Amino acid sequence: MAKESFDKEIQFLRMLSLTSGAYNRKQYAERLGISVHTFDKTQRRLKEIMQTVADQRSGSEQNKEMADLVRFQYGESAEPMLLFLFRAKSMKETEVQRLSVLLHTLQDQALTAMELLDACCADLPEDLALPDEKTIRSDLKYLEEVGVIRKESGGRPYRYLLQQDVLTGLTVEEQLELYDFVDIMANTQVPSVQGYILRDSLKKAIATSYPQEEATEPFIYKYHYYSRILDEAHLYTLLSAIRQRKHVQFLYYSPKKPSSYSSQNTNPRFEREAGGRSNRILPLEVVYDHQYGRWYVIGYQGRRGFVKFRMEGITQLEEQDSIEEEYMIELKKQWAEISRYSWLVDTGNTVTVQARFFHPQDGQRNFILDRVRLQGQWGTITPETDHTFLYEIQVNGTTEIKPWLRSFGSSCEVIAPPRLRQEMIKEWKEIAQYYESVREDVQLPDDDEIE
Amino acid sequence: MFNYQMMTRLNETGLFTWTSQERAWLRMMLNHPAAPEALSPDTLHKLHDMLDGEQEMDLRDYLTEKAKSEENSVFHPLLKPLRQIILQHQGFRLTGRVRNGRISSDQFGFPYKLEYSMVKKEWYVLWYAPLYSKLMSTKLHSITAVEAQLLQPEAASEYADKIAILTEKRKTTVTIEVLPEFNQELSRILYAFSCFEKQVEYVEAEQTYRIELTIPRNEVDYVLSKMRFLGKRVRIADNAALRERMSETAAKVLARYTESESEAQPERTYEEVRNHPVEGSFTKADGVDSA
Repeated sequence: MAKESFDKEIQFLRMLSLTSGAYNRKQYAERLGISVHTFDKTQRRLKEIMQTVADQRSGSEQNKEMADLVRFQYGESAEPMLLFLFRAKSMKETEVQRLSVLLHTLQDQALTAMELLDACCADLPEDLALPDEKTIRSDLKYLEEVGVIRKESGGRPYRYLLQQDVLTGLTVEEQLELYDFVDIMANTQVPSVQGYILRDSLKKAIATSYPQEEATEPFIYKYHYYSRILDEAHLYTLLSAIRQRKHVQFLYYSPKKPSSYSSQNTNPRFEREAGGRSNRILPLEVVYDHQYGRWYVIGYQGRRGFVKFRMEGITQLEEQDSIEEEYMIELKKQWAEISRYSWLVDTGNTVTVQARFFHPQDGQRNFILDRVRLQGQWGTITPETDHTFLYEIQVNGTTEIKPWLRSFGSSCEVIAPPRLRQEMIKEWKEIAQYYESVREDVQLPDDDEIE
Repeated sequence: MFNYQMMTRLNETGLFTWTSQERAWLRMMLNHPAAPEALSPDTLHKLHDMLDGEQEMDLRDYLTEKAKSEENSVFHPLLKPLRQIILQHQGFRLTGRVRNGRISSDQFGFPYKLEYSMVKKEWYVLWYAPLYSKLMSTKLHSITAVEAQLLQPEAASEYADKIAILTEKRKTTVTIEVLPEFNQELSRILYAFSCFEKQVEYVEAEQTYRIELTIPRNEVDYVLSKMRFLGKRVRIADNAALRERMSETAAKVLARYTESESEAQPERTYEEVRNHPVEGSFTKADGVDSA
C-alpha cells in the first residue's frame, strides 16, 4: 500500500466530514493540494469502499453524494461512519482471492500448508495462475503475523487453524454481552479503531442469532467526536516509535493554512506554495484532547527543544534511527515536569487561575458545581458563600483554560490573574456587540443550563 | 484483513476473523474497571483465558488524555435489563426520582435507545410515553425500579412510528457564522462542532463560513455553551431567541464584573482594557512553540 495514498484519504475524509457541503470539487481539490482528476478518482474509490463495507441496507444510497455518505447522523446508530478508511488498504486481486480461499478452507478444520495448497488449487477460479508452495507459505506467515490464524500445537508438519475462539468459546448470549462491551468501550475510550473493527466483525457474527436491528444498535453516544478515529491511523506508528525510542520524519501541514496536503509528485513550485514542512522529531508522548477531539504528538527536536504537532497535519510519517534509553528517560522526565500543569499542551509560564462560580437559581440542581467537579481537572473547589464557590488551579498559560471558563457564561467570574480577568471582560464586550441589534431592555431568566 | 474486498468475501460465508491487534485492544479494555461490571464472571473468565497469551497493549506511558471529564463508571447495572427490553420490543414500568426529590412512580413507557452523554458521563434511557405522547429521557442513576411489560407487536410498531415522527418534529436548526478574521482557526472551530449534525456553507466572495447545526430542541443549551466556549470567533446568525440568549448572557457577565469591580477598585476605562494583549490563537501547536 502506497503511504501517500493513505494520507491523502485521511485528509480527504477529514475535510469532507468537517466541512460537509462547503466546497465544490475544484475548491476541495485546491485545498487538498491535488488535481480535480485525483480528487474525483479518490472520491470514486472511497465511495466504492464505503458502499462495499457498509451494510447493504438500502440500494438508495447508490446515488448519494460522498459528502452525504459521510455526514454524521445522530440518533440512528453508533456506527463509526469513518471506519471504512481502515479498510482502504490496497491488496492485489489475486491476494484477496487466495487469502479468502485459505481462510474459508480453515473454517472447519486445521490443515497443513500442503493440504491448503491443494485446496487453493482446487478452489481458485480457473483463469488465475495456480499458487506454488512458497506463495502459500508466505501467505500463511502473513496471516499468522496478523494473528488471524495460529499453528496447532504438535510437531511438523504444522497444522494451521483459525483463531475464532470468540465464536466457538462463547455462547450466543455471551457473544452479545461481549458485543455490548466492545461497543461501549470503543465509543467511550481511546484508542478505538481496533475496538470498532472488532465490533464490526462481532456484529456480523451475532446477526445470525439476533437478526433484529435492535440487537446491534441499542446504544448511542451523545456529542462524541467521530472524526478522531482518522488520526488513529498515525497513532500506532507513533506509539511504536516511542516504544522503540526512534526518531520519526514527517511532512507537516499546519491546520491554520488553507491547504492540508499535496501530492508528492507535483512540481516544486506548487509544493512550496502548499506549505508542507519537513520535520524530524523524537516522539515522547501522544496527547488526546477531549475538549475538541484532537490528537497531538509531543516530541523533542534538538535545538528547538520540545515541540508539539497536531496529528491532523502529519503526513508521510516514517520511522528512523533510535536513541539511547537513558537519553529518552531523561527527556521524558523533563517533558513531564514542563507539562505538569498544562490544561492541554500549553507550556507557558505557570500561573494561578482563580474563578468564582455562582450556583444556579433556587430550586435547581447545582449543575454548575457538578460540571466544575467533572471537568475542572486538578483544580480545587472551596465553598465561599451560600451562592458561590471558588475554584483555583495552577496552569501553564491561560489560553487553554479560558474557553472552558468562558463557556460557563455569567456563572463564572475570573478573579485572577488580573490580565485574564481583563481579557474576559474585553471579549464579553465584543460578544455583546455582535448581538447589539437584538439587545432590548428585557430581562430573561438567565438559565445558562449547560452540560 | 483490512482490505474491503477481502472483508466482503469473508462475510459471504459468515467467517469470523480477529487479529492480534484487536485481541490486544480487548485485553487492554478488560483491565478497565468497567469490565467486571459489564461482563458476567463466566464471560470475563473465558475472555481472560482466551487472551492470556496475547501481547499487552499498555499505553499509559505513551498516551495522555487531557481535559477529560472525570469518569465514574462507563457502565450501569440497568443497561443489561433495559437492553433486553429494547431487544424484545417490550414496554416497561418505571419508578424513579425526578427533580426536587419527588418520586415518579410506575410510569408506563416504551424504551428505544440507551444513550451515553460523553460530556456528562451518564447513561440515559430514551423512551416514549404513550400517555402523554412524548419522548422522554431518564438518567439511569435516577431510576429506582424498572419492570418489563409485554407488548403486542402492533403496539410496539405503532410506538416506533410515533418515535420517528416526534424525533423529526423535535429537530431545529441553528446557523452559526465564523467571523472571517478567525478563518485561520476554522479547523479548531469545526472540530468543536463536529459532534453535531451539520451542513457547512462557504461563500467564497466573502470568505465566510456558515455552519448550520441540526439538533433536538432540548439541546440548544449545549450549543450555547459551545458558543460561549468559542467566544468571539463565532456568532449565531439566524435564531432570534438564541441571539437574545447570547446577548443576555454577555450583559449579565459584564454586570457581574462591573459589580465586583466597583466594590474592589475604581473601574478601568474601556480604553485601558483594550490595550491589554488579546487572546492569540489558542495554542501554538505547530512545532513553533518550543519550551
